[in-house]
Amino acid sequence: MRIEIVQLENIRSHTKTTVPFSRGFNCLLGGVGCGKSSVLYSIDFALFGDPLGRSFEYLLREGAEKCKVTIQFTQNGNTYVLTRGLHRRGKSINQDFDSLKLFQDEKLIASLKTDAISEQLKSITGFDRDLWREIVWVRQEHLKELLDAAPRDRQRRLDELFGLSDYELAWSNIAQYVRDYETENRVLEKDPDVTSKDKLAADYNRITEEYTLLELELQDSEEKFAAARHFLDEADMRLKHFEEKRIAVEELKRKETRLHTNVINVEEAQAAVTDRLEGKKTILDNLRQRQSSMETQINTCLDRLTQVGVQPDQSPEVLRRCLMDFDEKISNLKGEQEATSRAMQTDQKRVSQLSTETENQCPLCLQTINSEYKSGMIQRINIENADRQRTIKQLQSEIAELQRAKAAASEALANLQNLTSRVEDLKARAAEEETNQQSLVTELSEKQKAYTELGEQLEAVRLEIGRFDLSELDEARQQREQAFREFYATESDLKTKNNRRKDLLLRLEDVRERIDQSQQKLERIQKIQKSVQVLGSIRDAYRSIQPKLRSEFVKVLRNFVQQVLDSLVGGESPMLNIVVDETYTPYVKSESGVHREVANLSGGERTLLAFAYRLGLGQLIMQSRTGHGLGMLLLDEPTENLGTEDGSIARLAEAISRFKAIEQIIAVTHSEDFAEKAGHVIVLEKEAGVSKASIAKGE
Amino acid sequence: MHAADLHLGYAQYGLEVRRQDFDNAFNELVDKTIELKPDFMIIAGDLFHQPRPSNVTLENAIKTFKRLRDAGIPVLTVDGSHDSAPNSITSTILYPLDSAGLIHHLPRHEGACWTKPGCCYVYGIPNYRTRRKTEEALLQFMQQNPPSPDQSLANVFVLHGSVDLPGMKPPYIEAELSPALLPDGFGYYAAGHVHERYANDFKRGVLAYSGSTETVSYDEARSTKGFYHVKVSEKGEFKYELVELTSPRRFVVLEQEYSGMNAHKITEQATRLVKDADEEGAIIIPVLKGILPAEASRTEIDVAHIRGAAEKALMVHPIVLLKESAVSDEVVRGIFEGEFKDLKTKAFEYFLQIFNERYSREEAEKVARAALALIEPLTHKQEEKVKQTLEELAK
Repeated sequence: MRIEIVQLENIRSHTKTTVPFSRGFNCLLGGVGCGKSSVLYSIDFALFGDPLGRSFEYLLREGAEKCKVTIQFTQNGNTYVLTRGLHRRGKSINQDFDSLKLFQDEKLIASLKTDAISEQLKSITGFDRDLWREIVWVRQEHLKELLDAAPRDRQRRLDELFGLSDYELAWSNIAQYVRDYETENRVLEKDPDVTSKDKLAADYNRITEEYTLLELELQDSEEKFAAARHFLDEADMRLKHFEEKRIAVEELKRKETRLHTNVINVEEAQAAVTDRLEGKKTILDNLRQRQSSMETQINTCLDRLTQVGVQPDQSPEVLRRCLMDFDEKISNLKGEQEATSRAMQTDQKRVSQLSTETENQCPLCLQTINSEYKSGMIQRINIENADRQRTIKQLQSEIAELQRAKAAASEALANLQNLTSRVEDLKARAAEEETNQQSLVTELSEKQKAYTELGEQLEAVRLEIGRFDLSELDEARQQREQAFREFYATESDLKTKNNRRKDLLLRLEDVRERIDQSQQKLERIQKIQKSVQVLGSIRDAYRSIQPKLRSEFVKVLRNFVQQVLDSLVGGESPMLNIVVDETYTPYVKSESGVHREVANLSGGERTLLAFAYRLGLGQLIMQSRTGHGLGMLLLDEPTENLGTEDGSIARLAEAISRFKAIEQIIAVTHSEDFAEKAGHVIVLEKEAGVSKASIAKGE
Repeated sequence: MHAADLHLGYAQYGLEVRRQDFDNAFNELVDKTIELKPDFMIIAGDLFHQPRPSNVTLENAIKTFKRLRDAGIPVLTVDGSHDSAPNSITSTILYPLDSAGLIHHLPRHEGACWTKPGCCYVYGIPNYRTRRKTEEALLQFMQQNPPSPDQSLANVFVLHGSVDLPGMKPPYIEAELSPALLPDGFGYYAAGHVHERYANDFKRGVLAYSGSTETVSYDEARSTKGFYHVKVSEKGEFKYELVELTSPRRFVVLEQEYSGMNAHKITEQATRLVKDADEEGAIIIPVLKGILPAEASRTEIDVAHIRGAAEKALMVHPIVLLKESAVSDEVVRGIFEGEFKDLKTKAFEYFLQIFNERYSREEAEKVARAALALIEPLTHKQEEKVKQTLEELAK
């Protein structure tokens, strides 16, 4: 950290002063009350905003309502500007947070809150308030304060500054955690999960084993079950088969009955047919007889016809004509007879006429005839008539004969015709009957065939029925029953095992969980034990590190102080050998080896030693706290007890100017001799109660 | 038959499918074993991935072992780093399986061996996880169960652990078994633990690692999975032959160097790579290697995007091994340049010195760091932070 500019507004004797600083050794030079220290106060205020005493009364210019400090500093190549102000509120003076601002390279990075600013500052510069006030800023009259403090007090304060007291605090605070752990451990050790861990482990193994065995058994059972089911299925199938067979047999039996009925029916039908056949035969025989008798009649008729002169073997036409011939003949004959009879009658009439007296006329010729003649005529006529009578008689007999013949012939013919038709009928009937007979025969043979077939069928059915063994069905039933029992038994076994398996798995899960818990708790116990042990170690370490580190610090401190002192004392004066003890108390070791207390040194020597001690401490503490050395030092009147005459002031200034390790030193002094060695001198003067700053040396 | 590292029950990437994959590989292994009808089968450790496998895994294992038992093939086991007794509470899960007669767990039986008259002598040792414990306990174990190979028989030594040999890459930092620890007189050292197959002359026999049966870690994905079918000639020579498994899941490892690319470009390229390699049911592992440009962070890689690139694959599991650029030298120098060390450094050194007397180096460092970290919360009464630090320390 390097401060570039400090600007004070209404701070103590300053109304508005701008003080520039540069790298290296800066000196604020001025007489008493010129406002030199105010600059340092202002820097402290700007950085931390904390009053040195109880109030900010020491900062705010009398009569002013508000004041403000602006400082510009650089760190790691960045430029920071920090402003902080105060304002009066009634009787009290408070920070004016509105003016609290921190810029990094003109960018606002924090404002309004002191905490935020402090945090930023610490991270930027590594300083906090304590470090600043104890180490960086060496206030007037405070240079020798540490030296003069009681050893115990010094040790405490320095341990704190070094950060060593933290270890002590940590050591005492960590005890509680150890106790907590131990309590937790005791509780855990009594935890049933932990105490029964062996049992749990045994349980786990036992259950796992049981489960494994069960799983194996289960597989067997499953196989058995599958087999039982298979058997059952088979038995079912078999039973079903037999049942079907039984039903089939019943069907067969019904069929048998049916067939049997059919056979009887067929038998009966056969008998009926045979009867009918017999009937038909009789009928046929009758018909045949009738036919033959008719044929005899026909022959008789034919004979008669032949007798009457009709050729019977002629067509009916011819035969009818023959009959008509008869009629013709008869009618001819009748006509002849008629004619004859008429001639006779005529003749008789004539006779009668003739015989009658009067008439003597020829009837024929109407000529009168004589009696003789008449008589002769009468006679002849009579003879003729007698002839004619005979002829008529003959004709009559002929007619009668012919009529007889005709009657016979026509009768015969009629008979013949009748008979012929009847014979035809008979023949037709016979043929019909024969056909019937034939069909009956066929029917009969069919019936016979059917009978045979039915018989065979019946035989087959009976055989089939006979073949069916009821005991097989019973056996199948029993087998099925047995298979079912087996199936049921294996099924329930499987169910039981499955249930057990489920149960075991649950238990396994449970035990596993409990083991996990137990394991977790056990691990926790192990962890706690380890923690307690480690905590013990850490505690021991905390305990032992303080003296250990302190002795190291002391060693380095001595080295530091010696180096600084050597450079301060310069070549001419006798060397002061420094020894530092465990309370950080420095002694001067004379050449003879005697330790001299600091109090016994001369004022000048003490100032030099104090300065060296402060510087050494500062370096070391900064180093231990931040890892890097002191970069800045504010000194307020460090020349106390030093004189110009012996050159000790000049020597101190010279030495300070040589401290290149510290980037910036700002010293407040009234000694011009001191200021002469500085690279940058700002002179502060007071005019009319107002401080003014001017650069006397440097840029 | 010599198999090892079956890791049953390992649900890799939290996938149940993967757990089944391991079961499937085991089933295939047993199918093939039953076909080959060996005199016996060796499982050289890590049968299970966890010391107490889940019910499903256990059930499958029991069923599968029963098949071997029914086929008359004895199964000889030793415990592995994954399934050995997990702590003081339980024994290994292999004990109950042994009790149930499914396997013959060699270290559990007297003499830690199994013999088949006129055929072979098989000796097996338990797994002790670390080198230190192995060195302590193994000798004691072998004193109690002295290995006694019979030269008229085929002698097999079963172990789970990596033997400290050049050219062997142990799965963990160090090999647990120094060759000197293992006894002579065996013709075949059937080993498990190293997932990449290995077989070489060892002592007067052969040391063989049959490798894992499924991909436990992506870096072993390249090697085919399988087991050894070992035959012993009349003269007592061991001939081993790899039987490959076909069921293990396909892994596609896409290792790629991405140095010089920014996070966006890396994401894009890896996504494209995954898309091109997409394959039904496979597990795609894009491995992102290389150095990121200055001030780029690994967290800028859009892993979700890469994961979503595949459609057919079972899953995409990107592994980001990209290195972030080193902190600039100036900063490093700044830290160590100071002439004096700060208090914390000093305290740390001092703590380390104290704790080194009580703990191992690594542990001492851890405790020292914790002791230092505890100061702040302890002095400021930040109880939560103290507890947190203490819990972490006890891990």
